Amino acid sequence: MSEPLERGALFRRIREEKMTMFGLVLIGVLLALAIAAPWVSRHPYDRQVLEDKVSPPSSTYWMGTDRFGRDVFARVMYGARVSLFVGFVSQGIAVLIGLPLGALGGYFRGRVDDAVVWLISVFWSFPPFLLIMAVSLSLPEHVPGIVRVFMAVGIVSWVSVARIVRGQFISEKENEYVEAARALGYSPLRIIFRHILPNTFPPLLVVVTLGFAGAILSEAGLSFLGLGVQPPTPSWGQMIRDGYGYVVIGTGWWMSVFPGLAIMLAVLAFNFVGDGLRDMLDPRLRGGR
Amino acid sequence: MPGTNGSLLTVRDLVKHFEIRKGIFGKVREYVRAVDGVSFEIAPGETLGLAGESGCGKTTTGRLILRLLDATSGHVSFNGSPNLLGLTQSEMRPYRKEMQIIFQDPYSSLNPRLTVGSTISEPLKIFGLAKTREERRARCVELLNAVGLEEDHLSRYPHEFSGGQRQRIGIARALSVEPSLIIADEPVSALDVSIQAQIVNLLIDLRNRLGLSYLFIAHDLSIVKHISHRVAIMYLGRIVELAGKEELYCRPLHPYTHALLAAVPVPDPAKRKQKQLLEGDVPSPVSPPPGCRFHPRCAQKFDPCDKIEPPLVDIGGHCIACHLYPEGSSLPEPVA
Repeated sequence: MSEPLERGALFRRIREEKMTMFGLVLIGVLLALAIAAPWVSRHPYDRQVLEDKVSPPSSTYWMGTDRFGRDVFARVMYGARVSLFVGFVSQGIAVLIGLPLGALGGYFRGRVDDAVVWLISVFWSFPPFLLIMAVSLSLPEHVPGIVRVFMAVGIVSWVSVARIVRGQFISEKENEYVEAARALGYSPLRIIFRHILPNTFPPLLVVVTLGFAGAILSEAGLSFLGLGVQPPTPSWGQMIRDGYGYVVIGTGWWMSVFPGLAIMLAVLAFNFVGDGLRDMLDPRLRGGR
Repeated sequence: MPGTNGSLLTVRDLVKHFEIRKGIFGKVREYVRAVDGVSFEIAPGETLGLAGESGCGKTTTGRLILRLLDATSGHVSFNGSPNLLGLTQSEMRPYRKEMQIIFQDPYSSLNPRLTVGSTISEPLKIFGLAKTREERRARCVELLNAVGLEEDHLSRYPHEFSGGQRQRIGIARALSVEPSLIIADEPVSALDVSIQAQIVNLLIDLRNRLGLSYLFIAHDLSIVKHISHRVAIMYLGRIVELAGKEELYCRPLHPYTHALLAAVPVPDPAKRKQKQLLEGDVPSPVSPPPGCRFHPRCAQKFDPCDKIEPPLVDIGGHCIACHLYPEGSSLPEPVA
């Protein structure tokens, strides 16, 4: 059992780890841009200036314009909103489903656990992205694109949360403090939520951070395939799709490259932070999925 | 066996067989007979030492009494209560206030994320022993003082304490509900030798002040001797000998007890005798030997030992399960 790091000590460690710090700063910038998008960009993301369409980056349009003459810079920033929102909500859904299932399975074992493990195995046996597509397509017609995306990603990524929480519960339960709580007649729910759950937070934080990166990628992938966020709401994946024809024929690289860079940086940032946290909180998890 | 009248805890024929599931279909093939028919009593204010090698079932016995593990069969009664083994967990609650446990490992027995104050005050809240925040705080301070800690330790986390201090916190948590019986499961064996005596003396002091009874589980016979009134020796899931402390240490009857006592280190080299060491290992509790479970390692085995299991019989207040001392035989002269 690892001793819990004190809060001050954790932040000191983060400052020492350059990559983690870099990731955190990047996430901060991304968040700031997403929030401040309407004030930073000089052009609304959906204003079409047809006479300026497909113009390369300039002092007026920092990242150029797309085929409708919309400002790519504004759209990239609004895209950050979509990506972060999808990441946040999908991981929220994943925790909401995965945490109780993993906790119950790990604590009670027996048949409850058999059911949880079976469910995890079923979900785990599909290629994740195909499953996300399938879930997204199976949602009713009237569900908006963005809701489809975070529902699908959340429903698929609860598995990682459940796995890690279940594992933590199984190992924490071996500790005598759990037996002490039982000997004092505490209810199972009290033991699960007040006593064991806080001890599972460090690895859970790691899984959720890495899941965030996965969610951003999944959103981009779905939107690229046209299954995600619907126009005119900008999303990075959708922007790459809209622009890649121009890249292929060599008439405009900026429409796809800038959202592509944004995806890369965002995913990199969350992966750096996730990996850094994992190394700091529990080196034993290194190399896990 | 001594009469059941007036005893605080009565344990009768306690049995725990752990299943070993084998094969892909999880069919039960074998059982580990961890505890296989254990009986004893503890009187109010009395300390019963339960000693034996590791793996003999002494820890399991403690867990079974508290229903931290479910027994296979048997009868456990606290202060004239119905069989605790048949109660639901909610019916068990009133007895949880009466019987508490102290653990072996002072590191894993405290929740690393709870302060000492919340660890000790939570039982007070749950059992309604202190209504207001101030009452709880006062009671926590009282408990900390009783185990030799101070008020400003309340807001600290377990990792700020040494092993001995952590064990004191564990004792304070057990005492918080004002129990009359404490099962002490090897409470000092994980501690530094210099700390062991402090903790044992604290337990003795608490017993005298609060009138506690202990089931003191340990493998160190000199510590058991120091704290216990009576001592039971366990081997492979059964009690082989149970007697008053002086009686057992001066006149051990069972060959196993002899061997255990011979293995206790003697500080003075001049007093050291030729040791009769045990040969072989403890047999697997999955398939204990037939007859007396100790016979494969016993120097004094004779005809019935590998066929008939000797029952625990009382000869003059000294309970013994050995064919050398059948029911009705008289006690030999003390050896030391």
